[in-house]
Amino acid sequence: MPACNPDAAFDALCIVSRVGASVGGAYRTEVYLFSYLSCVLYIYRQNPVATWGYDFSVTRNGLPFSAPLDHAIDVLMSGALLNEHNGKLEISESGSAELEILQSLGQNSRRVEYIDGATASLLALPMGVLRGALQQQPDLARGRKIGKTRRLFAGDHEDLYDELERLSRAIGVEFSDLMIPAVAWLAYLSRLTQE
Amino acid sequence: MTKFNLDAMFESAESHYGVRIQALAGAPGARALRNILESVKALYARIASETLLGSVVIFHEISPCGPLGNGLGQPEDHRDFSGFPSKKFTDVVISVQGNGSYRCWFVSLENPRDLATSLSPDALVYYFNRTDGDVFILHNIWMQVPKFISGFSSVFSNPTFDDLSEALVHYHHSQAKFSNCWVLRGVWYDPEKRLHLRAAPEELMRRSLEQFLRTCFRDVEVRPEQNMSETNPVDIKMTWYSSGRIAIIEIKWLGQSVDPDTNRKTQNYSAGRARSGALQLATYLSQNAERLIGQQARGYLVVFDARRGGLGAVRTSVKLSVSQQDALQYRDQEIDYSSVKAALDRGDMEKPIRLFLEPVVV
Repeated sequence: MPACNPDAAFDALCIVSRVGASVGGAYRTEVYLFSYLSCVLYIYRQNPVATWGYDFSVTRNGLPFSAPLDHAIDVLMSGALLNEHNGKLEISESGSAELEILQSLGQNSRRVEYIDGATASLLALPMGVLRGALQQQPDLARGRKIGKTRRLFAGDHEDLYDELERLSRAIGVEFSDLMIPAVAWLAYLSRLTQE
Repeated sequence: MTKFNLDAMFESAESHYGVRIQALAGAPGARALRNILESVKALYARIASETLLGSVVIFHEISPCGPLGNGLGQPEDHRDFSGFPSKKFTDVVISVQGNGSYRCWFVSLENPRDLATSLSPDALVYYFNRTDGDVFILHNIWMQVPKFISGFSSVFSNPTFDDLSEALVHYHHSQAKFSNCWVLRGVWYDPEKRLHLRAAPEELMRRSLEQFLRTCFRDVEVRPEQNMSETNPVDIKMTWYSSGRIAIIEIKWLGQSVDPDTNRKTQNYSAGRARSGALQLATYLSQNAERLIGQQARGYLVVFDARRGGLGAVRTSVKLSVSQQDALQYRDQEIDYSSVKAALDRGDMEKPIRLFLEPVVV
């Protein structure tokens, strides 16, 4: 299998597996979205974004994108660990077996908590609402406003840090289930779409 | 872009039901919330919340206590909710068991709110009915789940569609037909009768449909009022992220509208308005084909039909009632598009969809 970012490859497998179990297959855009939300939760827990393992940009639609993640999906597909069916990614049997092994490795097991918190927000919010909510996040909304792709977390990410710092002061960071702060944050953002 | 307000986020997060449950019951509360949310989603995947007659009470024990649910009669144990659609019941009480199975009571409760509250000292309780919406109860504290989407009785019960025509049919039956969507309720001049629309109802119709589509599609950007050209805005444009496919939705309404300030009729649109909408949409699609070469676009004409018989001409005064026969005169009367057949046969336009908005018939 060609080389790719190992964190991105693990995240892609894990997200497709979880979103697939919840709503049946995952679109590529959803993999970027949940990976970004996982990274937001990682920062929320006061980890430095530089150690997440790969970077993100915002598209002109105001949605997160990650080139390393995109490449990892291609590599996983070429290795038949992920398949595409009706435009949606699904994890194969060999992909599930690989994921099980990878999950047991220390550096990956730490990522599961963030991915689980992010993908479980689908229990409380429909995908369309979740996506619309994220598009209200100022750093992402700016991408849409200027109408071109730009890098995220590249020195101009003060808005997200401010938000997460305020969120953690309001509700703390010691949640046993990161779905809760994720949903609380997204619920506020989704209210902005109605104002 | 709406202004982001950190103080408002602070307040919103603090009062969120998940945050409050964690504060009240710690990790066991958070675990119970996750298990209940999974159960609620699984239940509504089998039974739409709109079809429920009574209340749903789902609880998950937090502190060890005697068996909850005593006094409700003989429970049934279920591994999942697959058998629920064939059951006839008013209220259902469900205990989420540690092994992932469910203990269920199919009952008719005299006071479901009291029952739900009585379980809450020892369990996290989810309570739903169509009037109260979604509520979590813990330690006798009621936590309302914010209703961030219109039209669905429960915020946890929303279908997902891949096909737009299918979604529009669902929108008609679940939201538009009887004005179940609270946004759409605002289109009526006389909501207790639903004979006349308010003047300029198109904005609310568009918003109602737009919210529904945004909620029910996963891979789609839904945007209102897209300017296809300077003179011809379309009402809604949907763009599929993965394929780049585009759907252009043109909305027209039929019936009589009244200005609530003057109580005078302002418009009386008949079937001709729908036909002109078909021609207008065909023009949009032609412009789109020239402007966006390589993108597959399909047009959808959605007609909100509030026509009633016996209302009189637009110059006459507003009638407060008509016979049942007049109120329902157009219910089954499809629109004749034969004079604009060429526009409909162009190959990139779906058959127009008529959403008859039912009057209140006593």
